[in-house]
Amino acid sequence: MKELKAFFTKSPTGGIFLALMLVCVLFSSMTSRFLTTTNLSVILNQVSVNAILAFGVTFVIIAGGIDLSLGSLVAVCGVVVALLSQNNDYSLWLAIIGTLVAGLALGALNGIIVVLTKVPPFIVTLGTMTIGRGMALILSKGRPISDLNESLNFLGNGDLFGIPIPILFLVLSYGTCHLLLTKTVFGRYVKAIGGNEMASYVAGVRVNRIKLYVYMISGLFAALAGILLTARINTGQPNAGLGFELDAIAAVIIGGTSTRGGKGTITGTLLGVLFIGVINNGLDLINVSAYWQQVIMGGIIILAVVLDGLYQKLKMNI
Amino acid sequence: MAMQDCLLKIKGISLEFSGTPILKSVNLSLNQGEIHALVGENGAGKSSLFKCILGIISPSQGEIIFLNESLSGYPIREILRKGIAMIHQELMLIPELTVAENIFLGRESIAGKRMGLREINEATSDLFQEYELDIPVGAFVKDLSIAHQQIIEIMRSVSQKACLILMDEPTSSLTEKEVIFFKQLIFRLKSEGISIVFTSHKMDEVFGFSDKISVLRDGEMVGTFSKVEVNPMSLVQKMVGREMKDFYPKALSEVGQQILRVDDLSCVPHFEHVNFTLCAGEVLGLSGLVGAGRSDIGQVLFGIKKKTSGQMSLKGQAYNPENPSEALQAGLGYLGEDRKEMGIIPEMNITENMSLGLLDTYRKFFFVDQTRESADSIDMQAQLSIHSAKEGQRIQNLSGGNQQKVLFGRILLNNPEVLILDEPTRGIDVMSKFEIYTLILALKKQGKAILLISSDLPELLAMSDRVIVISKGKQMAEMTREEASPEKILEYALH
Repeated sequence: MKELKAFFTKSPTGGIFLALMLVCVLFSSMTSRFLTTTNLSVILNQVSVNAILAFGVTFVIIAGGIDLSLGSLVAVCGVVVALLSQNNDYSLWLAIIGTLVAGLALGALNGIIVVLTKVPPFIVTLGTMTIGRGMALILSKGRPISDLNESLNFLGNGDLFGIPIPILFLVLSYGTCHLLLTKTVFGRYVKAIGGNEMASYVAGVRVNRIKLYVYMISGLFAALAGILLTARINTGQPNAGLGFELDAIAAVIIGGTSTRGGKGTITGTLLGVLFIGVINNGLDLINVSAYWQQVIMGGIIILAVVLDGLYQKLKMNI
Repeated sequence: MAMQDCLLKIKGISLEFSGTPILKSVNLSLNQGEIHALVGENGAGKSSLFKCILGIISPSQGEIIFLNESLSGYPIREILRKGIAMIHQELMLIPELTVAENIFLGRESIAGKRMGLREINEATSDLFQEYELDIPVGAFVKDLSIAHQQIIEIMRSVSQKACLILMDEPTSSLTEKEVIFFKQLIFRLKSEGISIVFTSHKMDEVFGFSDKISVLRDGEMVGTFSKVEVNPMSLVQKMVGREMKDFYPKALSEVGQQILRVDDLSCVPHFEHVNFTLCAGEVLGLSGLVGAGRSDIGQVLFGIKKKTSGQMSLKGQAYNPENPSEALQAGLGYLGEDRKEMGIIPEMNITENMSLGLLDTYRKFFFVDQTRESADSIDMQAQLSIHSAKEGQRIQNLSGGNQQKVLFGRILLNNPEVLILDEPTRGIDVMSKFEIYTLILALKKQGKAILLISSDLPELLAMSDRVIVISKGKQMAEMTREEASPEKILEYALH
């Protein structure tokens, strides 16, 4: 009981956890189809791509930056993995590794421009977002790429020990990112430069290097998300991933990561992703029209952040 | 004291914050045209008292009477209108607006008459002429020095017909020269019948400016004194509540071998042709006005800024740090001038702040060895007597003095041979100042070479073995402790 109270009052993710539970209770009371093992598995499967993107961009946002190119990177990497695994030209492993390297390189491009030009990351990644979309169209010649290696399809739709592969990737990514942020030297540096860049530099942190790394991580996870998406729909779509960056960033913010940098958690991001996923799923189940879903979703995102702000203030007085 | 002379009377003000008493039945009275210094350690309740007067927080007990009228129950806006103004430590001006626009901000229409740009420019010019101020009314505030910005804030209060101005550490970011001007200005205000209450940690200002001095300690009013009743020593005793034998501790130690040598070092446009040497066990003071290039010398030595020409050598070896990280590895430690900007990571706790520069040495594979990290931090906290309310407290919730000690801890964990300390005691309470002086001397005794940059002349003179004076980026003089005096240093600095 004490631990439970401590979780809600001390942990930075207590607020969003409470909100998530609340919407779950709400939807379960409205429809019996919500709280079933199948449906929960569907939700996890649906959010896996957004979750993986959001984990990666959490590092960028905590370091005080932003990455708007995510959706485009998903498209480019989705096209790249499709091209590499078309007609079984290369082995699947090579295709995957090649795509991840491409993601790292595109992330590094973001990072290098941010570090060298000192142009705000918002502008830089707005630019690379457009560049990325163009590259996806160039590489695919504007057409969907099909006839992919069958083992790739397995990554998107298969399961291992009864657990869908995308969910396994979600869990694995969560664990890796959580450890990276909370336990490693790198994670500490990310929080430090987000908290006070100048002070970190003076304290001896290689600020530029760390900034480059966070964009590379963001690119790497965008590549992973691109692979999973292509695997799921079994085609490389140059128009895939439109607006994905906004969903990912929304999840990070709902999860309690400060837009000004310096603080945030991967667990919070996961809860943010689930929050968005549960609402999308629940609204579907209770037959809300797709148009209204968008209106409701936007309202809920704002409400969640406002309530979290109030909750944090309340917590201070406990 | 005639009744009409009494401008402000504070009667038995008490204030509590979540059970902790902040002010305990404080009394204070202030006459028209009086300059009153309010002194006390950080956390003694000075700012809280100001906030009570302004109505930002309402006291749990007591009464504040201004011009024979009780202020209790009035909102801030009303109280400001009655003629009380406050100059905050962090200035509250809009950088993108002009001087005149800032002065008339929120009062573009007065008594139903709309003030156009021309009218407010004229009104501001008239005001500046009256006070013999040489600041262009059309300049953008962002292009002005801190000192000028402060004057503009004061002038805003004057133009609002304030008769009581509260100033929270008004001189903390002013240079010596600016302080002299500031003094003239407040004396001018005094002659107009305006009363001023200011806080300061600098004794020469407390005694130089004020008619009366009130001492707060732990929320209690120790007393109000006239200048003849107290001296700096006894005043400090009243502030800390115990006797301090000598404010600047003394320890003579042997000066050892030369460690750092700087030849004809330039960093255009900040400074040019600077030469000095620094030995083990020596404190070299670097004096000069703010903006003269002192801080830049320290920053070039630590790799924050790049030199444009000249040589630096460390223990006989050429030394050219590309960045702070390399300087750190070469055995230098650096404490920046601005704690908030260049020092603390506000959201992080004491341990994380301390170990930041050295995390690579606490690396176990990719991970931080938190056991060793926290053991070292606890050691260092004990050594430096850092007081925190609870384990894992964020550094932003500590007092300035404790924050500064954490930053010292960060430097000392690396066990540097050369320390560059830029304004190590700025804006911290008397007790912490004393502790930092003691620490500097202990480090000196251990054979560290210390470059001390400071605007606080008594501090610089007491701590340094030698003093170098910089003016407008040029090295004006080097003198030993025996040769140096405040007058001499100022003469060179103002040159």
